[in-house]
Amino acid sequence: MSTDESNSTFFAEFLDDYFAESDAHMTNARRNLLALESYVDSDVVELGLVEELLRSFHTLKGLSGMVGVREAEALAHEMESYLRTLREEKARLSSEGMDALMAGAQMLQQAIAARKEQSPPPNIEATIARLQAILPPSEEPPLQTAHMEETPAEVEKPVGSTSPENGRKLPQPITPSPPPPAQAQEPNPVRGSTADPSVPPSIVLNNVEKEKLHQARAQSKALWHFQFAPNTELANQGINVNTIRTHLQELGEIIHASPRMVSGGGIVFDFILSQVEAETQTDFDPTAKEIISQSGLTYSPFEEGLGDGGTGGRGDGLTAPLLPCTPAPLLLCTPAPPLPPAPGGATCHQDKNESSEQCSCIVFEDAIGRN
Amino acid sequence: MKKILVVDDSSTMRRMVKASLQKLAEVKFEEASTGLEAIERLVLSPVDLMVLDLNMPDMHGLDVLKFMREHQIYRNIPVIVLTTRNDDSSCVAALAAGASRYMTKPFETQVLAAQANILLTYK
Repeated sequence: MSTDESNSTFFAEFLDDYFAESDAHMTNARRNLLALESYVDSDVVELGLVEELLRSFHTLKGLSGMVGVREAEALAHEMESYLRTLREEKARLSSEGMDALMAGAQMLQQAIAARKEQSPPPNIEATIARLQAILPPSEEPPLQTAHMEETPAEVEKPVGSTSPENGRKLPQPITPSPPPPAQAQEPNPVRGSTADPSVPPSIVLNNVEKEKLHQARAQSKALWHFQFAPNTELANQGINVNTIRTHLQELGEIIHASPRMVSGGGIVFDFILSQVEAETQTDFDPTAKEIISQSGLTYSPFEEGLGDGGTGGRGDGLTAPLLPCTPAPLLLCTPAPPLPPAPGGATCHQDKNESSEQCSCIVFEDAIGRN
Repeated sequence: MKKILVVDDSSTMRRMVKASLQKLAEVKFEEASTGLEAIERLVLSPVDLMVLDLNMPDMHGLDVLKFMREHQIYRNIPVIVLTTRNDDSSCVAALAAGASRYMTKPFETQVLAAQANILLTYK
């Protein structure tokens, strides 16, 4: 038995898991595609919807590749490519694009179902061609050569740039991100109190997050800064960053989330949350506050207005919510400079096996400065 | 006993990775479904190796890598990036961010196990 055959046999054991997870992703994708329809020919699309769709199709592409459902892999890849152009504002959501996405999702479902029923796979050529036709000319990556995905915050445009789409000036940076303090300090293990409000966290928003922030402000949503300091005691109670994330998603939309080291080796997670109409919402209801308290969270209004000139005001007409705890203003900072190149240079060997579409890239220990 | 942290937002993919590495002697696994959870796991319980996806909710895998390499206590933990990206620029970006190995999906189980083994052996 060849390596490929052995691999296929190995992963065939996961087909039931694949079908179950695919069902969940397809259910989400269908719901999000229906919601996306209302943005056809609009100047803006709901980025959260596009991101969720991207994630669903990206995961379906990866899983389908692992279990050898090539038709599903190819379809998910093409839908991902078009959605990426929407997210990056390289294309506008057209009715043709929406129809192609719907057709692609339907064909994707059929491809997965065919594998489940052990029937011949559907012919996907026309659907693939339709999806490729809606891509801008420079956005037609073949499946094996260009899987560009979302870009991490580090390489995004710096805060303070002007969006060409709306011509709006984003808040200017106030100060670069300070390095984490070197002196040792005992972390406070008491639930919910390890976030030090006297040390303003540095938060870098990527372009998608900046756009979400714009949209939230345009819709007069209240903006909050939550801090969560995990520890073993909380973890033993089942409270961790994922449960916190779930709680926060029940309260509003998470615009940004990032970790921050604090003195003594502890960590704090910063979340920026947008929530309903600011005119009517000045604080969370008692039930939500109880959940927040029990989860070890602290929160305060997101003082993003500091970036508009350092006055401390929002500068955008938002109603300031009540202060349930000591405010910890955020500073919008320029991204930290990239790490210096690896000593000796990272050596990349790419071995491509055409039959398995496998590509491995290896760097030797010394090349990345490991001790 | 060596501890491996498998980070991927797909539960099926995490099971596939664990099954591939199960044949390694004396290993146990931790799992994380988001980049933030991966950081939390690192803080609460040290690991010997991380297998890291890139495209995840809330925090991109490259940002997880950069966070680890910027902080002394996590700097030397080996990381295998396992992703669907199979272009050179993504590979180079991951290595520049501090990846110890770069592998793409679909992956060969034996190759992943061999990569993990060498990193655990010479850590």
